[in-house]
Amino acid sequence: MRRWAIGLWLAGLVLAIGVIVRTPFSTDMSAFLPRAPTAAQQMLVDQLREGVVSRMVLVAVQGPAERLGDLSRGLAGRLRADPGFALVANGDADAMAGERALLWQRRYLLSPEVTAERFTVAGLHAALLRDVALLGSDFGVLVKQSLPADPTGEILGLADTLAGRARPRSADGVWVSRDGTQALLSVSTRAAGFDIDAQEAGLSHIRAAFEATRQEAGVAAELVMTGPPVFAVAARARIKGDAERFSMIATALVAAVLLLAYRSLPVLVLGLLPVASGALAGIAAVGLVFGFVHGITLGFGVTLIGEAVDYAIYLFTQTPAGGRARDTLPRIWPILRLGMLTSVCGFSAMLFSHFTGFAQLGLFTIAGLVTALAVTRFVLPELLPVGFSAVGSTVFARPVLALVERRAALRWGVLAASGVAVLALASHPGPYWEDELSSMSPIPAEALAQDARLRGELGAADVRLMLVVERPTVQLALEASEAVAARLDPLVSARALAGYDTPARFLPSEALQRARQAALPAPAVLRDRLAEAVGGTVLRPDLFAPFLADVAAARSGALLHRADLDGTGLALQVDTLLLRRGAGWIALLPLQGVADRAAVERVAGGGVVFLDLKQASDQLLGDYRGEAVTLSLVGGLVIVLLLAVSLRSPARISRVLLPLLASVVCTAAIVLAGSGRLSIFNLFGLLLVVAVGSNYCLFFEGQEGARRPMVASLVLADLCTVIGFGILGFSQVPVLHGIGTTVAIGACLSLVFGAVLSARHA
Amino acid sequence: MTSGRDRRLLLAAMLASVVRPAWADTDLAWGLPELMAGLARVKSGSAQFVERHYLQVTTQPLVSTGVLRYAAPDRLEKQTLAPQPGRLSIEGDRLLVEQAGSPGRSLSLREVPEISALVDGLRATMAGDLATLNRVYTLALRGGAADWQLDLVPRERRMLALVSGIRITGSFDLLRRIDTYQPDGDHSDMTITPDPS
Repeated sequence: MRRWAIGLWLAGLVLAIGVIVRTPFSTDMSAFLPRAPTAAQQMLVDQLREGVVSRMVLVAVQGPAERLGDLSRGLAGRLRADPGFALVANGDADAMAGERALLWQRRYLLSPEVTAERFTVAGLHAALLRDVALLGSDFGVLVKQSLPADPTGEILGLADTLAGRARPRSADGVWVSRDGTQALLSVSTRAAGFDIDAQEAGLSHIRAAFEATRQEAGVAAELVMTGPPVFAVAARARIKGDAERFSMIATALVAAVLLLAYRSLPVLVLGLLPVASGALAGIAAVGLVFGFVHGITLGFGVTLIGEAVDYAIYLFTQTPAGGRARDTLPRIWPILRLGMLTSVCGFSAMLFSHFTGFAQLGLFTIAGLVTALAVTRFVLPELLPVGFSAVGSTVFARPVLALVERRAALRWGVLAASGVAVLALASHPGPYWEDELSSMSPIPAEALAQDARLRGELGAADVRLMLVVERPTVQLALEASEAVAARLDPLVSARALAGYDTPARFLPSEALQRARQAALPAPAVLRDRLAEAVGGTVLRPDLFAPFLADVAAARSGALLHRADLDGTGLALQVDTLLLRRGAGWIALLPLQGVADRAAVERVAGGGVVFLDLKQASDQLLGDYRGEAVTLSLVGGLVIVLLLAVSLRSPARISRVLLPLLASVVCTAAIVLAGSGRLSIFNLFGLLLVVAVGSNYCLFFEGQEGARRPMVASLVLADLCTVIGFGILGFSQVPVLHGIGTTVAIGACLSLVFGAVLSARHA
Repeated sequence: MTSGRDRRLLLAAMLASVVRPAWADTDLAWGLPELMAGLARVKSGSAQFVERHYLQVTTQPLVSTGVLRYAAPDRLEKQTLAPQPGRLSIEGDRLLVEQAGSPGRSLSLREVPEISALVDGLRATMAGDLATLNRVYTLALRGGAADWQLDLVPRERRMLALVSGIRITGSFDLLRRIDTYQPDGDHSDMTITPDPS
């Protein structure tokens, strides 16, 4: 009779699957940016996505001290041959030969010391005296070789900048930890940080290369990896692992409970059709509207339409023995519809979010719930075996029926508890919201501590503060970087900050390179000046032919371009600091060891932006949470309006709203008391509490007297929700724990409060 | 004027002279461990030095003079008085370089492994720290307690490219002379005269 419904449903499923297979899935952070992000927010996400820090794996190899050099060189050699890695640094000087050769060849274009004064007779004489003094000192061995070609000592300063601040302890030519038990390497993947699949592949390549190296060396050794790629991969695995493990346990338990109630496996499977169809419809709808589906939308979305599992429970459990599901519908349909609309109204505010992620979530939930209820309404009754009755379900009703009977007495208890909860919320000391991103990270504290240790030993500072310039062309961006650097140098001398990076260090602007060329004297002039300068020193006068030749070559030679850096680690360094943005270019100048923040901030202005990544991320999180709260409140208001229009009686409205409000307030107070702060995950949990709780209250309120099958269906649905989410609450992953505990507590409370406050007189 | 440090040095020398006969009689029993143990007993001291660098790039040897100061366990200072005043000191892991006319520079020893290995070799010898010496160099000892020569050859390739060997000549627990040889034939010698007490 209703064949058309099943046909339509199947066609819809096929259509949805067709859309889904064409929809790209993304784990891109930018979905969590506002639609009109500030420069700082955009920069933050760019850095998280593809910044130099986001792709750097810190590697430690633990092994016999005398073999660490071999292990480090072996591992680094294998990784350098792997196209997946842009830069492998292990302190091996031979491996830096390319960089050093480039600096040496281009020293007169790169050295900040190249000025006209340096190449006058007086300037040269002073340089030569310095050389003699150095030759006679313990540093003589270092100076001697470069002296004939570089008497002004340009390479010394450049080598210093090349080494940067990363100066780990060295043994047998490679970096080692302070205690000498570990060889240290830093490995940068070519893939950007947001590409977690590529990062995962990269990490397994490192493991394989290490294993091969270890076997070749024939020693016992251990590999330790840390850094953002490791954390990203581990976090995903951990969330996935916990979600799968706990979901499996929860599914088994829920299935057991439902089997107990239904005593039929086919019915159990049928009960999943609405939520499964809803999820598919949700994904397809998001794919059609947004063109992609974010992984987080999927995860949270399926959670938020968990209510749809209840639809089938209501239908099956409230169908009496010998009755037909189709006959049950007229009785429960208005309540189910209003319950679904309540949730849809609650989530609809999300559609208008500034954040793509929220908007996707809103659309997913709405499409999912509407579909799930339609499937419950039109498809399930056709498929339910004739004569089915949830014979085992009535036992569940007993405790709640007892509550309903004593509701007059309990009412005051509930109201008092809510009052206490309101007071507790109002008097909560300190902030309500968790705005520290790190506390929401699923990475264990020991792993973070190990990361901090390796980072410290490698001198790989966590970049937090930076100056940013944006200009229409590469050259203008480089010139602006040089202008900023000129203002930072005095601050470094004054110890307002320890140092900074700039893309112009290894790629000076063409203007500056030309200025340096112009500072070099013509060959004949230089020869005469040098001869005069060498006189009166103990240096052999015939020593400096290479110097004259090199200066002459640099003076009229080609400028240094970005392509010249290819094949060296300097390319990565420049590329991560000099980025194309739309039609223009931005240059990043990360700051290290900022002691006087105010002084550094004064450098900003006039197209130079001071950026605090941690502040930006905390603020973004705050904005995100703030908007989630606003949307929830707006959603709540829409729910009130909907109920007002539908129920049309203040008494009925308050019977539905009061228990909902009471359970939200009490749940929030309990969670806050337990963890000290609320997170955005708790907020999502509360949204779900309203979604499922509103159904309970509507059923209690909508049916004259508390009929046993109806109450049984509510208890059964509630039990499934509490089990499913309660199990998630055991996870240590903050997102799962936050949602799980909130929903379990809230669902439990809203059933009890609904029984006490919503039920009408029998 | 006799400083406390000098007095201790003197004391150590006297102590050494008391023990001397035992070593002199049975030279077989005297070796690296005994030399190191003797050196380790000297807790502090100062000495005048004259250092000559014989380099191919200069027309004449570069001569510098100054004062060496040592205090156990890990402080060594080399103060150059002429031709240009300067000071290089290491204490623990810190290397402090002061050159006339430029601000002092404080480095971590590991920033300049080549230099640190050179200076550390001298410091470890003075401290009688056999473990450190063995880690950085292969060691060869010749002569007897009264007139010994300790040859240090760097283990690390990078350092070997700069320094092919160091020979420390001494008598009992006093260092007399340090010769440093470079692979290109350049060399330097430093003669050490302990401060009179």
